[in-house]
Amino acid sequence: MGDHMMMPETLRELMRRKLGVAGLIIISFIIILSLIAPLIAPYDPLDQRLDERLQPPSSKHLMGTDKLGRDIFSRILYGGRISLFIAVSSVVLATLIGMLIGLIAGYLGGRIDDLLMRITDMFMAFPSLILALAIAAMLKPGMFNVITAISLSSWPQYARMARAVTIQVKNEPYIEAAVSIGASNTRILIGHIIPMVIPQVMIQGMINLGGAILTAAGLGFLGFGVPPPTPEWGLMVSEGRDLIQSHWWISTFPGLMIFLSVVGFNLLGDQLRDIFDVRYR
Amino acid sequence: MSLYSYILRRSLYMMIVVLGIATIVFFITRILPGDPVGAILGPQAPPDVVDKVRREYGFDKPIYVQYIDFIINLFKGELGKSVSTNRPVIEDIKERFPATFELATASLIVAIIIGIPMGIISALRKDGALDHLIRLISLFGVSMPVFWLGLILLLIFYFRLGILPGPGRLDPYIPSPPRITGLVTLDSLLTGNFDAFKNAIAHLILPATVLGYFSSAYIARVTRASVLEVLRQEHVKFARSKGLSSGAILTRHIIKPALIPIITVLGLVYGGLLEGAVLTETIFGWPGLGSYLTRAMIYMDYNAIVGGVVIIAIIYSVINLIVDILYSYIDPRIKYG
Repeated sequence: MGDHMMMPETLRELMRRKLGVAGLIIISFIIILSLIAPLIAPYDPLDQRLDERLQPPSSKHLMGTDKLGRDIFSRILYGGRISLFIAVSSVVLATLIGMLIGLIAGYLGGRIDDLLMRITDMFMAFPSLILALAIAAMLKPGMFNVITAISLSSWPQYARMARAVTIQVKNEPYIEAAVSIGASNTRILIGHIIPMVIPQVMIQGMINLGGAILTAAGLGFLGFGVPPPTPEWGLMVSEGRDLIQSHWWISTFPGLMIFLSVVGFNLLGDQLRDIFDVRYR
Repeated sequence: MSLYSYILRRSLYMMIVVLGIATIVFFITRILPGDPVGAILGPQAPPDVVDKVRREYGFDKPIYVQYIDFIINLFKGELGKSVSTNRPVIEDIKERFPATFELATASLIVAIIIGIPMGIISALRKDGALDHLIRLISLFGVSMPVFWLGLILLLIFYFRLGILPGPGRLDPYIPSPPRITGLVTLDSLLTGNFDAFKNAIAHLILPATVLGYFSSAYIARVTRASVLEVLRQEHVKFARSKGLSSGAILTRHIIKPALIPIITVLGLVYGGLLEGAVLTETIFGWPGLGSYLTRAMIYMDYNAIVGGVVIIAIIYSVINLIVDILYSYIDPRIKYG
């Protein structure tokens, strides 16, 4: 599979599958809404209007207001930027860490490979959300700390994948040929191995984007995510938690947005998994 | 290799993995910024009190000394003292573990009840409308934030309809049965307290549904793949040509062999349940390991965090070991290795 040909063909294959198209539409919709948030949001997401607290959905406030009188619809629009940014950045960072470790382990082999893979196994032998929580709890709440926590707990599967591809490519005859004409390690890695590793890891990363949104929202909900008053979706759900009985809209709408965006990414991810038959382990 | 030496070898490897995880989490808590004593005493606490408490818990020692102490204690089965409950972490965990075990088991039952039929129907109707519908239902399951689904279900079934009980393991007016196993359902049955039993089951329904629905998707996917695999095999065609009724073919020749691979994923599912328990227990006020760990993290209670994580790692590894042994027992073609 040549990596130049891959994207257009994948796109065509994806368009043939209805569920994949549905996923693409949902995600595009959410991305566009977050991008044009300043144009369409009726209110400032941080603007507190205490005389308009806890209002139910109406034509004035489409999704109602929270306990500080902030417009939930506007906060949801801006919140999309935060959730998407966290999800994409943490997946990118995790794939970079995983690729680095997988490349080193697979290319050097021997004891270094053993050591790195044992560490990877340990990380994989443990539920990653709990690890992310532990890391996030120790760092101060903040967007970059959330990204760090998620990526530090999710890199191992990329490392395994990068290692497997590296070993596979390393044993190809043309690499032997390159070595025999005196190509340096750097040149073999950059010229031959990394280009084969990147697309595989990237696809796996895209499949996991939905999961990253869920983890980020979970951290936000428990109070280990982005601090208030930032309109992060998970945090917004928790802000309405104690009021769920009397003011259902505060938690319901942000949760619905998390659900919708994760559905979008998972629909897309499922189709990608089918197309490329990517295995978890 | 005999089963005995296989178990021994796997147990040794398991110990190394658990020790590794304990080390990773130990250093995460010690190296990253965060001050448990400050978090408990508050910013106004006088410095000499803070110093005294810090000495009491050994947080003033160099990290490597703390680590050596920690490992020695770990082998003695001690996990240190919790800063927030002021009790040994191992006692806290013993008290809270049964609640999580009860919830996770109930959730696993829900996940199997939903997941396996969905997977079988999906496979038998491959690429049909029903298959697509089922795949969509399970995709929704993994896409739903469990904390949000929990809140919405509480809103509907507890606050609005009033047909299911709210948070907790029992209604406040029902006295807890005496603690025998720590599982409220089992303890109430053992003591013949059927009111408490019914109430405990009612309390389990919502959290177990939330967690079970999330995990059922994975079971459904594996079941579907496994049934499809069996359908392709010759013995099914042979059974058909022999004139067996389709019901008999389905149960004897398709479902039974297809269920074997599903056992292997149950370990993975159980890990997911432990993970989901952190969020679900918080929503449902469930006094288990998950809510303990969350509380420990809020107070940066080092010993409780590391202790809780070590226990979860041990449970997770033991379950995977049991699953592997069970699998090789059911399918003798699998060699221990």
